[in-house]
Amino acid sequence: MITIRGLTYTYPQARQPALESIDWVVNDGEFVLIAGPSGSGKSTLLRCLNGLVPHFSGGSIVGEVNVYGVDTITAGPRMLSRTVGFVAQDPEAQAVLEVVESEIAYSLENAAMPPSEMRIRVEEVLELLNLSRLRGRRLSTLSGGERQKVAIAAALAWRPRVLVLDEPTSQLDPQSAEDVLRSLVRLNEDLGLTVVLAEHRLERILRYADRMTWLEGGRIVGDGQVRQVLQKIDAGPPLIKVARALVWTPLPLTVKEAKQLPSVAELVALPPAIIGTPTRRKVEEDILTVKDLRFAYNGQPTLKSLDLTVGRGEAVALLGRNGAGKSTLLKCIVGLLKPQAGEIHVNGYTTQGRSVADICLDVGYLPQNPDDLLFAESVDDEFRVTLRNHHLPEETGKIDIMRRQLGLNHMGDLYPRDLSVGQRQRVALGAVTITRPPLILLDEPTRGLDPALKEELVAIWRGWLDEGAAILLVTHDVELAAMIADRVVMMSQGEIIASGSTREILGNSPHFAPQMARLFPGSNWLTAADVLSSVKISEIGE
Amino acid sequence: MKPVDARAWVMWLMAGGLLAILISNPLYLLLLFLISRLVMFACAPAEPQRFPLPFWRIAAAILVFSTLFNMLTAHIGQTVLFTLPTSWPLVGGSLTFETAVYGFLNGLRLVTLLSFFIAFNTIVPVSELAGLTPRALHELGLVMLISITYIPETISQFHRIRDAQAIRGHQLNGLRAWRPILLPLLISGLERAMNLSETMVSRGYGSTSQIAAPFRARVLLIIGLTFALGGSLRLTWGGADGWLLLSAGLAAIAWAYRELSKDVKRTRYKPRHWGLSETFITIGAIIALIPILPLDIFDRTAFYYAPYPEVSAPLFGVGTGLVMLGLAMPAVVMIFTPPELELTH
Repeated sequence: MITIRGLTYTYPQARQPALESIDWVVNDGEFVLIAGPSGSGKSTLLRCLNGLVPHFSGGSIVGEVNVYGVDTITAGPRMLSRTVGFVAQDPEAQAVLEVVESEIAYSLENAAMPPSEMRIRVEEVLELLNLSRLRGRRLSTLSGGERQKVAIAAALAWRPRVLVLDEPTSQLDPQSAEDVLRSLVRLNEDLGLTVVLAEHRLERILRYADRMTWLEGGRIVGDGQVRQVLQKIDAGPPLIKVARALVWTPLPLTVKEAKQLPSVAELVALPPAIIGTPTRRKVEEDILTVKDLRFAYNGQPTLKSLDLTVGRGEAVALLGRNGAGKSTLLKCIVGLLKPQAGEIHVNGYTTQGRSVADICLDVGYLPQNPDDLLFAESVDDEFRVTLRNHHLPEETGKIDIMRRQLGLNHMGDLYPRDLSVGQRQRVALGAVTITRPPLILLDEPTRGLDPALKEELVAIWRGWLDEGAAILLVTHDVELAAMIADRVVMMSQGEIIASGSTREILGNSPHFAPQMARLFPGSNWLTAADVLSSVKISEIGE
Repeated sequence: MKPVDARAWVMWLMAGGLLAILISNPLYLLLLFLISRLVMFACAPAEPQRFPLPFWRIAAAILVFSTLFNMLTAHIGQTVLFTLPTSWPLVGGSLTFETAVYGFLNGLRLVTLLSFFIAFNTIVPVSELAGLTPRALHELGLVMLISITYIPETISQFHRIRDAQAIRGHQLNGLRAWRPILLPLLISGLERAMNLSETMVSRGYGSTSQIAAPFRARVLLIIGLTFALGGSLRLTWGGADGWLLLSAGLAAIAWAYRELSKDVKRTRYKPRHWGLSETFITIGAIIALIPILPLDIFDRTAFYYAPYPEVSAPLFGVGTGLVMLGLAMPAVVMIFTPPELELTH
């Protein structure tokens, strides 16, 4: 059992506490979901459970944290490593050794466990997580999902009483995330292991959790059964938003549960004609044209004769599993990779023979990790550097407009790396689009962002689309694609396997359909906004 | 084939490295180089940890640099290729074919040495190397080994950041232009180190080493270090008895280490097993070293080659070459070991 009483914690040199007056109890064998906006204190709370806070982070702490009889404030993470298994967000950042078996055995070797006992423990976790076939593999050769499962296995080697996970699926594609979550559910149900997990992507996890704790500003705002907490808060996946707005009871956590509700059945029975029509923008001019593009990494074909167009004012989402070639395509477009064959035209000009800098006058490319871009002393300097690099005038007016559009109004003088994750993402976005390029490429732009931040970004992009920019977006987040994309292109093994309007492609895909498409198949509805606006229209009609 | 004990690989590396350092004959160096490549391709795991930079490019860079450097700075030899004005400092004078060959041979020696290290690094996993570090120094050793594994990750991060800056129109011209790359690289490296240390601590790193070093070990260590320092200073100033002091110091340090290791509890997931494969590899490495011993059966003068005053054909002793093939034993063991069966006593 985990008991926290009167916990207030402040990071060194911070003005505000990261956690304030926390009273919280987790019972043995519970599967608890911790959720809340970015910066609400989720990771800090998790780190209190194994003593990383305050032993590793420093700062001031008041209160009591007791995990299965051990006071974490006095004991520290080394002692707690046998009681609490800890898994962090990025599977790559937490691997100590390079072979699966050695990585799992690492903590046991540290504790000088006899080899015979160690072999049993390692076999046990390999079996539990279906990793036996990967036992001799190097971690660098595994997929993201497999690496995260190895991290979980390594955390379980000590047979801890509780497993603590900090956004374990945020870096994974939907299938890998599902695989990892199912493994956790099996551990919780079969072994009675207590699982405490923080996650932004609620649609992935709600169905599995016994309990939900909602944090805001370092305080617990809601705690209890998942349905009760979801009724109290504004956030939630599309299904929950629609269910709350249309007062469906009991609140459905899954599409399956929702389909059994009579009110949903009534909506499903409505003729498709009255519930929404495709709203694809009319494309008059292609900003990006890719013809017969081929690229190979070390002789392995990554892009195979690929054709693609993106029109002015159009948003196209590129979907597909990890390794499908999506990011490679973006890098070929901006000239970071040289294709073996094919043509790329941006804004009417070929990219062949042009430097990356020259191409990027027409293309704003936001890479996966925004921190790779940030180095200047202030937000405004980040924008200035890009203008200077392109030998463009450093107009203050231009910078002010960009800051305003990105919602960074009063942050011009702040050091970018001190900002929150969402703000840093927006600074990076500004740094690559300050030249006002007609084509914007976004590579997983909402990874690790909470739904509110995601909606803010979508609003910014919609404004740019209205001004005539074209957006090509690579994402695993189908709800995001449903919100912003006019067209969806599905890639697999370097080839385009499907292309068409967002409604046509996502609405008919078993794996990539957003929640609303799965709930109302054949309806043209993809987002909560689609459903709510259509229902309102039909009510007015009646 | 079951993994070969890392101790046998250390023997192989030491023998290969020693020969590469001692020999200057290009034919023997070439033979050693080919052996190291053969062993690497034969024994590397199916999914090896790739060396972060292309080997051939590094090798070519070393050879070119070494050749040019020697050619421009040494002005001896009889076959003059060009002559630079003698008023030019350091590089002025005649540039000869002999100096170019000598520089190339030095480069070849370095490339051969590098090739042995890359083969070792590709074949032997870090976890095995960690197991080789002495018990008392295990944690320090592990940290050092992890820092080695950081190199490829840092290089790939460097490429990522360089690309990210390039898409903002950044171009690398001049020292100041490196700031947008080095600053994020440094910060992300520190963040990665923090994440990794957090993970290691969460998984019990250092949980068995909280015992204070015994008093006797501390005294022995102080005495040993003092004697070793005194002995070294004595030797520097020409005192022949410095060896005695130095030896006594090293013995005391070894004793202190033994005392320290007694209290360090540590086990291995898969205890090392010395089998026939390991024995053969070690014997092969020892055989390859025989020619450097002061025995009359091998002509050691053939090891050394100097292109001065004029380039001549290097000698090659077939017997010596055959003996050096002992270093190829790992590849032979690999061929004769069935994939499923273990070659053990």
